[in-house]
Amino acid sequence: MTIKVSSGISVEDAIRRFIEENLSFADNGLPLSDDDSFIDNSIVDSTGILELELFVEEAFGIQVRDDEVLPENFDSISRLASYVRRKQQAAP
Amino acid sequence: MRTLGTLRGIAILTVVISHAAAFGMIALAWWGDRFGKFGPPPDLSWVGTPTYYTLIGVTQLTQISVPVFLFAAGFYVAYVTRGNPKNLSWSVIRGQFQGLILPFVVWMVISVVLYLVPTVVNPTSGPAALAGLVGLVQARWADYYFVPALGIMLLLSPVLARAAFRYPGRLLALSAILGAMIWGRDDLRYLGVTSPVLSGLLNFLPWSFPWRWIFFFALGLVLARYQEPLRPRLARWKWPLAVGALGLGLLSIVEADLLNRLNHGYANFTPSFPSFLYVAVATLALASWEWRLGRFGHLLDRLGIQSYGIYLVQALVIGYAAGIVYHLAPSVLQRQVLLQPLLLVAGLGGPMLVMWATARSPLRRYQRLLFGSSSSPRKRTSSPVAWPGRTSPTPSLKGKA
Repeated sequence: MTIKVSSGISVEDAIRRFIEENLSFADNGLPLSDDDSFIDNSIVDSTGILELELFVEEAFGIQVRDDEVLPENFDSISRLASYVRRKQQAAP
Repeated sequence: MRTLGTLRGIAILTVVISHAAAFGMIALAWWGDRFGKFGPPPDLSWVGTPTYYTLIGVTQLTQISVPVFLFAAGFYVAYVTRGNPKNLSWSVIRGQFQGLILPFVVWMVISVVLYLVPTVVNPTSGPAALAGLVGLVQARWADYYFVPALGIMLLLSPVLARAAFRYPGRLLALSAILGAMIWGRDDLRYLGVTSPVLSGLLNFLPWSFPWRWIFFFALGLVLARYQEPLRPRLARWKWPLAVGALGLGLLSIVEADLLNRLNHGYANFTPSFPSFLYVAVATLALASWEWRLGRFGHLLDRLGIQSYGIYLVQALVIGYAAGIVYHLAPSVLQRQVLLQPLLLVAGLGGPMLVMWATARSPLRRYQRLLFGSSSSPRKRTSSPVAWPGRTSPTPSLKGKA
């Protein structure tokens, strides 16, 4: 399945919406700031991190290398958004 | 991590294949009256046939499932440490533990309740079955034994992570020796090796939890922590590991066949030393390969992501599917070429259908409670408009080692 995001929202909002709909199943929005840790707040587990990896690849058209799946890149909305932007800028 | 998704996909596939094969053997040995064999069960006339060797081979080779899951869990726990085992605080562990255990408890209850409800598939249950409730719970527990095993590993993870980071070689050696002794303790008995000290030690160790599995969890921790130096070495050994896994797998099949014949068909295919060696080498072999499987790889990734939900539901669905065949199409029971694909489709498709339906029902808010954090069929994030400045994204279908 190809996931695409609408053009009017930020990377952060797209990630937040994805987590709300597919990982946290929160009805009233995700009770998480952009800098809160996914690990510390039990948002992801061993399959959740895979789900996030597939999501950013499919939604933002980037290739995630195994050695890039680190908490520095994947452990909060802001870190993940920064990582996505870096990858997009680095893309040819 | 993508490699772990593929490995998890392979692991859940082997879980379902293994349970389907188990029902195949049950059908051939015990349900012969339904398809025209009127001898007293167990009917062992099929022992030695191609069907027998296929089923016994599948049973032995699919033993990699739980070790691979534990390997992946250990790998993830190393990620959670963020490089420092002190980051494995109690609140972090509790969050991971709850995400694992709560769905397990829910499905234990659901499966017991379903068993107690009399149906055409399950006509002997109902109130009378209450008498056997203890045995019933034990049977359900046996269906889900991987979950308590992983739960215990999570609780031990602060200690194990420290050991894996500081003394990786010693931890792997100790846990491998422990695992080999427990997996192989029946082999010692068959070989006539008896020692009061050894027997006392092995009897002291609980059969399954957690010592039998600790090596695989530790292996995941160590390989994740020392990826940089270990990954190239592992890649260089991928062919010897693959050939070794194949050879040891064949050895474990030969051993299972031998034990089965020595026990007149009553061998319980218990874990053994050859099977421990097989699963250990096969786990390393799977981790050493770059998985470039195209569309099938993508399917494995998706299965891997949904693996916990599938795991929790599949035993129940396969049991009901086999029961339906027993009552409605008994002639299929002896035709494994039909029965096995049918059970495989039920065991994978049934749980995915349940998860899909739950995600689109008022029960959606309980999705995490029912299937863990991420076992849901993904929803589209928004309207189908490509990200600005990007061409339509093409998902990567290649697993990377």
